[in-house]
Amino acid sequence: MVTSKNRMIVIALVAVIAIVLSACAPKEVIVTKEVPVEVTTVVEVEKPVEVVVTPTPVPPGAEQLARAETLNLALSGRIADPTNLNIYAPGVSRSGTGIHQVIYEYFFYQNLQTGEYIPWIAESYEYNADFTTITVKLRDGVEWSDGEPFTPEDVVFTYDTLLANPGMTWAAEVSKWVESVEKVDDLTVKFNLKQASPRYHLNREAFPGVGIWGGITILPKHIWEGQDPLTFKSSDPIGTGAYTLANASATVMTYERNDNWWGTKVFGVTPAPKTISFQYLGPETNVALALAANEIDSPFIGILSLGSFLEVARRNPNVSAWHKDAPYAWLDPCPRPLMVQNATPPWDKAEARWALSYLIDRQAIVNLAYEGTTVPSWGIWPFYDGNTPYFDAIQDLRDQYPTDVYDPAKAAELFESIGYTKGADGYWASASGERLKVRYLVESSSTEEMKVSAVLADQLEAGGIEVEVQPMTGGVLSDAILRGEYEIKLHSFCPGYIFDNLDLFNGKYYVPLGEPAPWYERNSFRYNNPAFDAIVDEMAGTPPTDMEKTTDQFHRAMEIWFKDLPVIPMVQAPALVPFNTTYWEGWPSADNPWNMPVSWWATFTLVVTGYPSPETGEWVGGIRPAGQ
Amino acid sequence: MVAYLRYLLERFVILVATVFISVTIVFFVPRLVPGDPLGAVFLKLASMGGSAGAPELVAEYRRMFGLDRSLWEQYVSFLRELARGNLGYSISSFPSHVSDLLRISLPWTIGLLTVTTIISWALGSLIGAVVGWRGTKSRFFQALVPVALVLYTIPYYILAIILVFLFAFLWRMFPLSGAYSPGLRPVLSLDFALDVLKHAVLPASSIILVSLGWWFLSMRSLITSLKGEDYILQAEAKGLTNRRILWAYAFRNAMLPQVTGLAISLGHTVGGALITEVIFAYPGLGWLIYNSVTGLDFPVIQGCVLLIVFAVALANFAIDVVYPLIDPRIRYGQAGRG
Repeated sequence: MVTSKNRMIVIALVAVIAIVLSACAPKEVIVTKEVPVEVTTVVEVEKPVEVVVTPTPVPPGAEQLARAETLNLALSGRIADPTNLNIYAPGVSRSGTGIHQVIYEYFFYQNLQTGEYIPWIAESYEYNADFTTITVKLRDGVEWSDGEPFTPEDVVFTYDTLLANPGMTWAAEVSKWVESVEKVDDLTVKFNLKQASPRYHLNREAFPGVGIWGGITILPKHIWEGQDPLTFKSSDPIGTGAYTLANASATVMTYERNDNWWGTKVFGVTPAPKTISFQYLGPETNVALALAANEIDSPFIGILSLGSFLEVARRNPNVSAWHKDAPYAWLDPCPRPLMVQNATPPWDKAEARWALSYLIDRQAIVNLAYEGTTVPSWGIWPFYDGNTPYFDAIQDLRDQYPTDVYDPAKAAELFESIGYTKGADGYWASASGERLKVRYLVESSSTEEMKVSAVLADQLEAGGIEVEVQPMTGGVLSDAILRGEYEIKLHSFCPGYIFDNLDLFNGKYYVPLGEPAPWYERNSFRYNNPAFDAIVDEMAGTPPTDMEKTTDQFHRAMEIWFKDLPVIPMVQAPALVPFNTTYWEGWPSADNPWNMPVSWWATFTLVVTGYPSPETGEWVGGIRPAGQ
Repeated sequence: MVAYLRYLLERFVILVATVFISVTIVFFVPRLVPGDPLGAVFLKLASMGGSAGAPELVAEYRRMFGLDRSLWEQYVSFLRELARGNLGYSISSFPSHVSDLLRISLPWTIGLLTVTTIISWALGSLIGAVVGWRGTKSRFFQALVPVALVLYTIPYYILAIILVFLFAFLWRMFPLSGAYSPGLRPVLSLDFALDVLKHAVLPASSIILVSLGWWFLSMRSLITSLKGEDYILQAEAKGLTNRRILWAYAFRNAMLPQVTGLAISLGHTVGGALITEVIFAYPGLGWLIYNSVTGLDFPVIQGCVLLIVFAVALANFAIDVVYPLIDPRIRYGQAGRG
């Protein structure tokens, strides 16, 4: 019987259900993930607020003096277990704890900005005639922070351990390349390689040379011997670096300068900061406030958006980034192309991929999603000076194949040439009437990818392609990419070197759809061209110093690559990293590009201390107290 | 007395059964989610700028964590280890033990949230009682009602960010974030304790201000509804002072549901306050839980949920134990219960 009371109950129930359903909107993700090749930007178009509010100045005193001797860096995430500082445990973040920046040091460091290969713990390297062994001469006088000398035994021990324990980070790559390491004399080690390679010294996952971000870390034998390298926590890590661990907590890692550091004795140089601390301050607003209040000197990459940075710079004239004006950002080594699934029709045809490329207005993406902090890119390599000879060598090909051009008319031509017609609904349809559709995978915890997806999806829809944006994260996303369950995805192509980024397309990494590819950008897009592979394999065996040969190989490879266009070049990667010069100056910048502004890379140790120029031997760079 | 003990035993059995069923559910449900917990390991390697040797590493991990065995085998082994008190290794933070991760985070969560819950409960209840009793007689107390409503409905993170901006940035009265000053060692000393307190003021205030409203409003409505009871009328007729009637009669009766609410809230504090922890960089459990869920870190998810279930079940059990003692009516009703 429908009484008024029953009716009221039904109405109330419907109202409650409606409210509950509307509340089930996707929640905002706040926690940031640590990715060194990422930037977050806020899309804001309002006028800046007129009232400038500055913090109350802190009266100088003992606290100030201590602050002037401390270098404070802001982390992008919490430290899960601060007692676990085992650098080879995949769960431990080397950069997020600061250990590979200030505790450990490496044989060589690559300065990608200047193109220098800087000897540090080692002095020089030499291959044998057929590139099956490499002999490295170590620097005399290197010591561990507990006073023990750094010896070839430590190198041999580290490699023996890596070869015996496949669970250690990068152990697999070491096993692939290194047969054994032997001591030649007190200052010399020899690496015996499993395969001939003139590029082995550039492979950061198999050699103690820092490429992008980090390298194989040599461990002190007298500490690690007898320990299980996977479960040993190494809570007080011993390295050769100038700093030792003072305190570790879930949100702050504090390091103090070691006055007995070997570098002071050998180089005659002391790093300026007495204490270096890596702090997790919370979300972007907290970091911005701390930067404006001079509580920190620099945040890690990917924390501050352009909007926040500009606001902080307005309040605090001591805060600046790589460039003083737009685009502000430094060029990150891993550009962002759009991966296209070559194994799924119609994207298995080069015409379809080229058509897709013509539908993309990269400048609009730069303006809207990146707010002008980057530039469109014709290729998948960073625009560093060191790459210019290669870029010049293929200028003719770049003119012939315009990969960064927006031309919808050309796109239409190409779609028609492979049998597609535009329907009355504005979408391309195949001869059998099927609409042209793509699944666009997006990393939901990356504000950069989410923003680009909004702009790009619009552009492709306008071009007549139905786009299904699929935001995912974590293991689910990882799985989907590796198995090739996508048609398009924007991704960072690391490491960014000329040869290595070409090698990502090598057919030897090809696996059928549904099986996991070796890595996200390592052919999850299933490109397979044996002619291309032959050239790339040739390049693998050519010494990187033979510019004539390598530029020629590059040209021949790109002839094929441009024609096929397996992935679509989109933009260069912006790395917005602000620095505060209130307490420390000498930071690398566009005006003074002596190094890379990377507080989350192992190379940061050179930013703090400086280094001897490989060419002249003169001391280059190093930060110093402000005002000196 | 025997009835009471039997009642306790019955409640205890329910506690154990609840925990066991929840643990089983939390074992199977995350494993039904599409995706691979080792994908989190992949992503960690990706954050290092790519990794050529990743597939081999992941295969090795799969073997180490027993993820290549059947679901039933994993369940049995999980129960066996649990019986020994071993919660296992965290997959994404290997080789940290789950118990290590919990041990690091738990004190901060419990410390902050327990204290703030009790403070906001006590303050809210006291003020709510007074306002409910005085009712329309005092304009000042009446004005507190909309204030409480506003506080109760303000989105928590907005209030937190405003507090940070005003008190940490503009007026520099309290630190910006963190549980204690960087560089300070966590030792049992007055200095450290004061530092922790100083860092706790803003996060605690934000939680207290927001939860205050709820306790206030519920207490007020309880008192208001109690005002019409017969025994209150009798007390007034006997000539007792207003103050005595409020605190000795009305308040004591209204406390019963409030105590229930408090116990349940305390049980839930173990879940951590995720947003608080994010905004104030407070190293608590909320962040750990969130991360383990997105990373499909099964052992940590199991450990955290076990902890939460246990805490809530324990809190419920605590109410069941305490209630008959503070409310005589319940005790005498025992005989009729099953």
